[in-house]
Amino acid sequence: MHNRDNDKTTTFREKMAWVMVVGLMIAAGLYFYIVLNISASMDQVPKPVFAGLTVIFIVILTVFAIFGASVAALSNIGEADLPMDERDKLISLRATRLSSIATVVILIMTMTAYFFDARSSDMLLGIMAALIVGHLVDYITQIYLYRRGA
Amino acid sequence: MSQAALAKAIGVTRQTVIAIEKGHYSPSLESAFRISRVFQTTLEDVFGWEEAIVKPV
Repeated sequence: MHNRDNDKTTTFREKMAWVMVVGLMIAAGLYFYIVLNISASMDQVPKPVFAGLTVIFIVILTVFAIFGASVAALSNIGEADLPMDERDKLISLRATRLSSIATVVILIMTMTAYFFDARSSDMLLGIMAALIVGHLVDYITQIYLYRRGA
Repeated sequence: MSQAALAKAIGVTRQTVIAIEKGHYSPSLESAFRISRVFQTTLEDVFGWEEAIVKPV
């Protein structure tokens, strides 16, 4: 091509994946730090505490996603509302495949823990971990594939 | 023609065009045909492919 644009290759979707990785790490780090501390000092983590922390987790993540999407959209003007192209779809498909494996592995580990008399709060924690790790693997795989090309 | 103009003409993002140019991403057949039509040429003029050498067993 004659008129080469600059080769800045960070797409809106890749930027969103970065935002979600950072958001998930912060929100999940806070969530597990508090839950594990409570879990160590009490026999069972009270259900209202779990519910409250889950709501806080979702709020932090939502705020991060909105703020991150705004910043990413401003730096990639006109790209945010574009539908996924074929490369985006391929990357999404590969990332989802890996993330589903991670989710299922942690879920099976959690289910196995049930047979070793795991507390119900630990089971809930395992399910949360499966969901969070699954999403982290999804976003990190997306970033890796976007960096690599596909 | 700019990368952005080509991207718009074939319906992908500019970053996908960059990935194709660098040889990091192989476009679908549909996009490959679209690219060749934008340049009013044939597929072979735009894309090259070398068959892997298969050693006889």
